[in-house]
Amino acid sequence: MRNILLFIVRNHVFFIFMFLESVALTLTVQSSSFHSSSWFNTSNAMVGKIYSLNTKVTEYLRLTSVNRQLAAENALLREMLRQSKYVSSDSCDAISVADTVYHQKYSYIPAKVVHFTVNKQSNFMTLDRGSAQGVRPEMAVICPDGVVGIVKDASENYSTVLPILNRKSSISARLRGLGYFGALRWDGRDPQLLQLHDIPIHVELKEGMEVETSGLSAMFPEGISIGTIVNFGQNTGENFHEITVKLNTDPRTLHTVYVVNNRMRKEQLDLEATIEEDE
Amino acid sequence: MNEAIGHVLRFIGLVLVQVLLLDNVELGSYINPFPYVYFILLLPVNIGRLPLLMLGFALGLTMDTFSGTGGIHAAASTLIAFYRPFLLSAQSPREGFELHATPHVRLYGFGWYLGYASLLVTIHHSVLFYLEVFRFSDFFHTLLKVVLSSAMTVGLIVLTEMLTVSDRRRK
Repeated sequence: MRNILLFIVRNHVFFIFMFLESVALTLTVQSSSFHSSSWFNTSNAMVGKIYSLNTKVTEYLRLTSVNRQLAAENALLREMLRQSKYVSSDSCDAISVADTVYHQKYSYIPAKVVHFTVNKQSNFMTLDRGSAQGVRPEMAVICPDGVVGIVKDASENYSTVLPILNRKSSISARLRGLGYFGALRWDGRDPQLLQLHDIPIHVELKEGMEVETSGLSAMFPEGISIGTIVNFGQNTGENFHEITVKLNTDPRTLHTVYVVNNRMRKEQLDLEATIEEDE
Repeated sequence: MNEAIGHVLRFIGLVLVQVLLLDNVELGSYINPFPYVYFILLLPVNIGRLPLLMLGFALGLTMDTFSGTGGIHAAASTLIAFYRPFLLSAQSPREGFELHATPHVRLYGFGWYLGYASLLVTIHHSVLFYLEVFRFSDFFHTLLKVVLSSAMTVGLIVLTEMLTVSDRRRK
């Protein structure tokens, strides 16, 4: 017994080294799961502060491109206004009714990107909006012309996003007009190119076909354009296409994004959960 | 005491340079330097093994907190903090290290420093990048990344050495 104690005392540096390494590896493995709310991440208030200070300085350098993006979006929104719709003469005298047919299903929370890396395997993003503004984990994040990712954690005023540029991320996407859907993932190489899996081989593809969100995950609204097919092929012996999709946006220039709140998500998930219970 | 303050400032400075500046610089998907390990390289030769280990772990964990990577920086930094004393005793100059000496280019020569820095940096980057991809299927892709990034990191560190410590020769 005494010898064992002596051995441990003599080699205490080695044992402490092993202990610290196992702590580090545990943290690594933990961060792989979707819902790890570890203290050591960027929704941590201090880290968020430093990153948003940095953004305050650097955002001036990007004002030109941000203005262009916002102007384009303004134009799009203007098109949707009632004034910009043409009313044909025979419907001019139609009686206006209080609209109870359409309920608001999705609401949007605008947020600013305060930190985003694209050069790693596990990229992530920090936004300057958190639970105090209504951001909750598992909400979708979109940008004016594409999808960004899914909220992972939210602190009071900051939230972290698992972007599509992360090897652990996978979102449901479909081919516009055709309806076939599959999983959109990233292979960790080019931040502009993603891979669409699970599209059966009998589907005829063309380069330039548009890929959009499927709305099947109860997170993203349906039909948001993600990108276009630039390349496709087939592995021998497999029944699925290998499709490369080029994103509409360059993720490196993201600045303003919208967190999407699906107000009926809970209802849908509760209902779906009862099926799993039955089985 | 002054030394200690210098080390604390260097810790903060290197972490900030890394997360605010270098993490935003894109040099292609293969080159991804992490010169924050310079902090470990610069600690005094006679620092105890235990404090060295703790500092390595703290440095790595700080980086992980900023980059949301779990514990991969902590694992890599702790490993080189553990290995550094062995490397130093194997590489010690014939007359031994001076008391309180810090490893610098000008003190022990360019070749010695290059060996010291590249070995520690390469070990650090290997652990970091392989833990980051967490699979061996992209073995050579990751290996190329380790080699190029380590070269870049060592280059940055040696450059910093050349620019900052020219007046230490008097010591």
